[in-house]
Amino acid sequence: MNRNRIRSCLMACLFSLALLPLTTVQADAGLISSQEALALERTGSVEQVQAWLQRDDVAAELVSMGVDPVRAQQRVAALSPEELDAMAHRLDEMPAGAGVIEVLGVTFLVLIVLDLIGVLNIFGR
Amino acid sequence: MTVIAPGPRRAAPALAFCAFLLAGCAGFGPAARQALEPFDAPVRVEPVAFFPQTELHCGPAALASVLETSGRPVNYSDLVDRVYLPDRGGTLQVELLAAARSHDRIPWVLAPQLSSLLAEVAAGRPVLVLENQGVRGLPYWHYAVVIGFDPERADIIQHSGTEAGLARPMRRWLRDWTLAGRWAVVTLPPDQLPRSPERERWLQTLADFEAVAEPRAALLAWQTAAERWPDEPLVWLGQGNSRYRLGALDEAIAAFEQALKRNPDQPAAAYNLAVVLLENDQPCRAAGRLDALRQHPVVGERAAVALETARESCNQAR
Repeated sequence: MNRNRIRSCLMACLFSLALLPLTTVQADAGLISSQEALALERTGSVEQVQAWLQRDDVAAELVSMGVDPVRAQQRVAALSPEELDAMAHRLDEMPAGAGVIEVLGVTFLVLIVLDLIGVLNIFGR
Repeated sequence: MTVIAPGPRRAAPALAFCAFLLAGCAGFGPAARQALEPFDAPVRVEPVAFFPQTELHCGPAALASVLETSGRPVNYSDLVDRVYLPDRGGTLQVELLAAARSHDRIPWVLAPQLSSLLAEVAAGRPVLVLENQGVRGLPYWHYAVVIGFDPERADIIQHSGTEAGLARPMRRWLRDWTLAGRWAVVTLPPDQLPRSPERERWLQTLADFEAVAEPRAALLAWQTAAERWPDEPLVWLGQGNSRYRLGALDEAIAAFEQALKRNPDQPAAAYNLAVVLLENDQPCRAAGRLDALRQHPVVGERAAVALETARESCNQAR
């Protein structure tokens, strides 16, 4: 557990380093994007830089959750600043769509039965 | 169903199960009946590409289905790598939106009403939905694609999991959809608008799209928006940005000028116009624009830097 923690921290650090050049290039890009223009219009500031910093964190998080590093980079690059912010702060609460009802129906019933006969304690206190 | 009252331990699962059954009866109220009212015959989008999901991959399967139907061929296993999150054993909503952008399709999250969803289906677009097939306290998340509905039988028809064209009673389905926050998405080709695009939200959607999509797709999307809202400065700014990325400097200049014609005080358009003028060998015109921007609290700093270059080139040209 502890070891895993250290490993994922290490990976996060390494990964952030790998992303650094990308970040600077984008911050220096020539024109003001429509995203920035909208942010300027609505909030009076351009908060893109903050979002780009979060990009590194979220990419590292994805890597620690089993995503290939190159893929993780692609994936976060396609998120909007708002989505990025949500992933940076609420990743654990976000629904992750997975399968179909049959699997659930069976699992759910088994859980209830196990709980009722006292093998597991899921629903109780 | 989040709080379980203290009491005999064995009452809890029974309570949970009752809540499960009760929740199954909720949801099909007057609003749903009203949403179905305009339709007197079954509606079905055909054909809608079907990808039977592999284990835990309902996200990529549903996304593949709507992307292909919108005219964007996909590679299913590549899509799995784009959106599946191994440690969570599933796919996040925001990553579906991001992946749609990467495939040059505009992800539009519908207003959380049955009527919005039915309108899109009736317009020939399959709708990707999130469902909660469990209960509130013990959710089981699933993505499916709504491809039709039958108002008389009150059925919803979907590609779901490994089943194509599955008909489900609307009442049951509404319950699952409502428990998942009534989340529904269409993926639009850049030359289409959704049935009811709210202007502000659509502009934000396009700005987010521009940041990821190919410039040609982004340009098309801004042009389509300009047909609907020709007086909106941002649709011209967006066209200018896309033109610039395509290397068409004269057209970019024209677009930024259009934006400024609609709102002369738009700092982003003024700054972008100046930068492109500078690049297009018109440094003196650029200098004039930049000089006016120097005091701006946000873009002033950038403008000052560019102004130096512009003045230098302008003096040399004289």
